[in-house]
Amino acid sequence: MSTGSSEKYRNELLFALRMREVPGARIGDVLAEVETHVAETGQDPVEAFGTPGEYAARVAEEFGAFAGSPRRAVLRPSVLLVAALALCAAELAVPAVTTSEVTLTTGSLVGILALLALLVVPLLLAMRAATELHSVERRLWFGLGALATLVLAPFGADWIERMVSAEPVLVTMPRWSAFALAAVFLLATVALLARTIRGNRIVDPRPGGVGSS
Amino acid sequence: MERQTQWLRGVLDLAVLALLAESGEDYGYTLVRRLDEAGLPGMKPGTLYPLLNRLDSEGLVRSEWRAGAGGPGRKFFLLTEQGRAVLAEQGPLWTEFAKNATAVLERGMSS
Repeated sequence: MSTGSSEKYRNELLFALRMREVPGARIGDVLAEVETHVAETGQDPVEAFGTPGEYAARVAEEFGAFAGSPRRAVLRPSVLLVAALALCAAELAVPAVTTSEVTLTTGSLVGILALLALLVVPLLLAMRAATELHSVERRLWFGLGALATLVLAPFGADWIERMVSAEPVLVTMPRWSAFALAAVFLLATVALLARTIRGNRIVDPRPGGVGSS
Repeated sequence: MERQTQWLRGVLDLAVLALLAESGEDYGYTLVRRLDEAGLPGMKPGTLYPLLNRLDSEGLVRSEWRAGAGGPGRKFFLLTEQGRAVLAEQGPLWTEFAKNATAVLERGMSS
């Protein structure tokens, strides 16, 4: 068993477990079990444990149906909330650069929601591209699809925003208020991201093992 | 072999508890080997490790990582009192089931 293919298996398994929302502590344990078993026996990891996707699905069964679908990794509430907060920050900060007053309308709120919904498509396609381990051609098509829909998403959201009337005006605020509110949204985004990352940190459980992500 | 693997899955948790009852503690690789030596071959580590971890989360076994002598660390599994109680309760039920199944097969084969 070569170190290179063992490392490749480890990385693909880590990714597959992440995609199935297996908790970080459990991922560290699973990776250590696979590594020590392969090091001790010299067995091919695919022969011993199955493909990374198959083994990740089996491990995820421990956590019930919640962890069963890779799609849920993208569609989970914390990911959507991070994206929504970042979009709100941008919606306030960008006009505040050029105008002295920032106006929020029903149309702009609908635009944010539309962009959030449309961004799910490239996210799902990017995830399919990243988890497609067997066919390079399929990976390429999913990747191109993700890129195309990512580029088209803002235009689509803009079109939807225009379709909704710019009225009524929900709130008008001076530039400094818009910047302050955008900063609050941005800080909330960073805090939520940091919390998610810290809570899912992968730690090697073996004596003397080091934390990794 | 495929059929034997299916049979083994039905009794694997009890077989693992029984092996741990014999030795007190063991780790994944040697449990696979001991199952094989006991005439229960074909168990893949990819099936055994998730089972061991399920038994761990149910409190039937306890696990701990220990440093290996010059090699990688090993995850040892130890039978708990709860695991011993489950083995004592479920073990006789399985042996009764296996005895009945054997009797049915033997009657069919000799008729």
